[in-house]
Amino acid sequence: MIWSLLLACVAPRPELSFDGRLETSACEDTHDLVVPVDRLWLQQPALASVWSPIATAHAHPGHDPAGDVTGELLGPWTLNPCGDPVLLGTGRGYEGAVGSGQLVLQGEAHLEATLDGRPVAITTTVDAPVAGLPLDGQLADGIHTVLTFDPWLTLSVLPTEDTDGDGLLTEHDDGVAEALRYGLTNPNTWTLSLETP
Amino acid sequence: MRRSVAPPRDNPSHSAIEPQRLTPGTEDVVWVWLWALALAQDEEVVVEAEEDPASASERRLSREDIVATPGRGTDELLRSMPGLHASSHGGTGKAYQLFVRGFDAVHGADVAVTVEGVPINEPSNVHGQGYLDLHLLPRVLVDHAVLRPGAFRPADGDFAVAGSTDFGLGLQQSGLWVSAGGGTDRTATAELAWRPEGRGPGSFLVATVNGGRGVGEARGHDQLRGAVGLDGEVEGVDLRAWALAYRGRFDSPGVLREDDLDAGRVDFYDAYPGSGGGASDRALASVQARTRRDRLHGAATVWGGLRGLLLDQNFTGFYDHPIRGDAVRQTHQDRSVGVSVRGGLDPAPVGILAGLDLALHDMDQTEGPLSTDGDVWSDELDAGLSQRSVAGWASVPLRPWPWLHLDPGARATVWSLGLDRRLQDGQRLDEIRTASSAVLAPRGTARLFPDGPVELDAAYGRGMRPPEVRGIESGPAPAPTADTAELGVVARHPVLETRAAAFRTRVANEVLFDPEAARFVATGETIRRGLFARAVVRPVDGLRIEGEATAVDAFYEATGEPVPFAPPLLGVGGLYLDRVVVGPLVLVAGVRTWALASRPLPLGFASTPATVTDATLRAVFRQITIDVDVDNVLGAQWRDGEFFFPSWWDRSSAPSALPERHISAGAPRALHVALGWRSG
Repeated sequence: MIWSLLLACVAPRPELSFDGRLETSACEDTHDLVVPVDRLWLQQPALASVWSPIATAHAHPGHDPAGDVTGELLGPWTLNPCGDPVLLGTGRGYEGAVGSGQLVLQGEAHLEATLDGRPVAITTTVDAPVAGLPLDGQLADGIHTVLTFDPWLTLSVLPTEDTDGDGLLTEHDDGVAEALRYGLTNPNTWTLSLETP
Repeated sequence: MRRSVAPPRDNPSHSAIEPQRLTPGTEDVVWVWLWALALAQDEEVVVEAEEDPASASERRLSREDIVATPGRGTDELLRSMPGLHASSHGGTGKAYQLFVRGFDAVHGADVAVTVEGVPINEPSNVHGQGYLDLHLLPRVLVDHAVLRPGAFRPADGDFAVAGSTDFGLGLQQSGLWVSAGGGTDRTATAELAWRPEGRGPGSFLVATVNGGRGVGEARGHDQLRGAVGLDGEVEGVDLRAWALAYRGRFDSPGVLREDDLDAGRVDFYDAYPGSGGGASDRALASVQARTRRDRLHGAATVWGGLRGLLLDQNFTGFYDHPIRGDAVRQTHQDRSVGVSVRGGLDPAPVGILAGLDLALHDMDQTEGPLSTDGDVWSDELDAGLSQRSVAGWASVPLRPWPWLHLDPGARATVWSLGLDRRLQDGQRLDEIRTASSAVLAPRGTARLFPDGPVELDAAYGRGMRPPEVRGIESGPAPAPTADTAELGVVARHPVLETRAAAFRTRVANEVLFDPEAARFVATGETIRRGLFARAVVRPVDGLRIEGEATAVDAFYEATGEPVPFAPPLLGVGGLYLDRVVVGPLVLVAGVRTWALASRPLPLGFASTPATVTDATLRAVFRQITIDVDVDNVLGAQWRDGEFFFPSWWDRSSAPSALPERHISAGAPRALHVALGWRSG
């Protein structure tokens, strides 16, 4: 490193832009699913650095850790992972290795479907990160970030018992809303990959 | 009256180690100190043999060197330490951030500074360990300075990890001196310095005031300093007393996001609203007695100080707290006293030098968020702290032959720390913790053919800094230490003097203090290895050309990653007129350029290299003096500091967690002219 710095041949780590795209999935028996996503972060590999906070008190520039976000796509989006593919726009980031991703879900999620022959209509608030999405690759200028959704992991865990007896599975039925939030924020529900154009 | 002067070593004009007699004065002065009445009217200057330099990279500045060194603040003199880069990110009034030989010494954590042996670093300051606020010290009063990379002398105390500096006080000329001036950076200065006729340099009265708006936004400041000193002799004992007082108020421009600069949303010398500022007050006094009987000598110093500091800072906007903002107010008060005793026997061929340093600090500090209106939202921290330290040190100077000087020694320090956490994270605790720590530091130097045409030096020393009180648990507390070895060579010639050294520092475990968690964080072993070279050419009398470079490879042993922010290469070049007589004019001048290579930043980024040239000229015509200073002669828009972290200032946009490059603007080009008059 020192010789690179001394010879001034360390190119500044380039800033870049990249695209994001949500790939749709075949959501069997599902008619409509709305997921509020606030942002998508791409993070550098864990333990890639020993950078520590500067050894000083608050209110010193650089005291706060730089964090591990190395790429960011800002929403918010209202996504239907069971609908058509969606372009998430252009994000900013820095060239280099990425090791994981994180979605931030924020807003109202809505599901209308027929599960095991029972009609479902749930609206529930979700405000939680989906952290630790595996992502192994190099972030480069113009690369596509592809987000995919596994409906089975979300929808299969929904209870089907109509506890309030209204003939419809809603957020008023025991555990349904909680199960939907759990399914949406399950890291295994989402998959991230990098695609070179 | 007899007084002792240690002449700066690298200035040939002071090389004659001969007693000289000054003109006696007859002026009577009423002094507060009782012993002042005993001052004799005849003054004889007895120049003592000074201490051996600790290493080939040690540097000494005479008063003439100081006048020829560009920059108007005392902090700027620290740049004369080989391998040191000083950064000012907090406005004129906040302590500089220092980088030395692969260390990010933050605000003084790894650089010990003393004024005539009295420690200036503030242990456990709320803003940073070893906080080093040199605004206390009027530059007109600095008589000489000794700048020492490493910690090779047993006398080097707390915070001497990457280096240490001692400033000597005094006025070389007697009489009254007044000066006033102003600059294109919308600042003004005024100075008054008076040394009574017939008294030594240590008898003085100094008052300085400076202030102004500065260039750009949030750079206003005003500073007021006063100093009084007295030296004399009573029954064979040299007595010396001084007191310094300082009061400063300042705005802080903080940092700017690079993307805001690129987009033209802010200008280079702008500041975000509410970027901060502060108030700094300090008083420090010392009384010293020294005596010598043939080979036997001793000195005792008693000192005491009062300190108050308030800092408002915001470097992240609204990122952490979207409603109230991230501004933080820190306050710190410190009441301190100390005693130092040292004595010894000159080597013939074996000698002894030993000392005892005692320091007591009693502190109170608070920290809490500020609202956007500048009001304290709530106190999240309120604590009382105490630090007691006792250090004993000794060395055994050996001079078996004239061509070999050996100075093996050691320093042992014990700290006793107390913490009364009245409030932590907004919760009332009233928890009291006590801890202790101790370090034994072997140190020593060897000089082969000292002061000969070619001299070889070797030095080793363990530097240390005390544990930060806010992080202690009950029981032992870790005190960071660093072991440095240096091999050097000095080649002397009347025209050309060259110095070179290779050094290596090992920090067994970098212990950082995380103030948010109020605990110590161990980050592993680090190594710093580097080279230093310096050449001084004196082609004709009065002209001095200097070139110096320090290259350091600083990295974490486990991963090989570079130590963040530490400069790998620093070069300094200068051209100086030490004292040139042109007709009726006497000129002292200096032009200095320093170049800083890219520095490693977090996340694999590198900083922008910087090159800055400053100049100074003093022209004396009889009793009139004109001082001309030009900061940043070439008008470079250079980046004093570069940092990487997320922030959110524009709340009309979505907050981003992507770390962004932030910069603090370096000093702009400015011309400053002052007109002075000296009595007699």
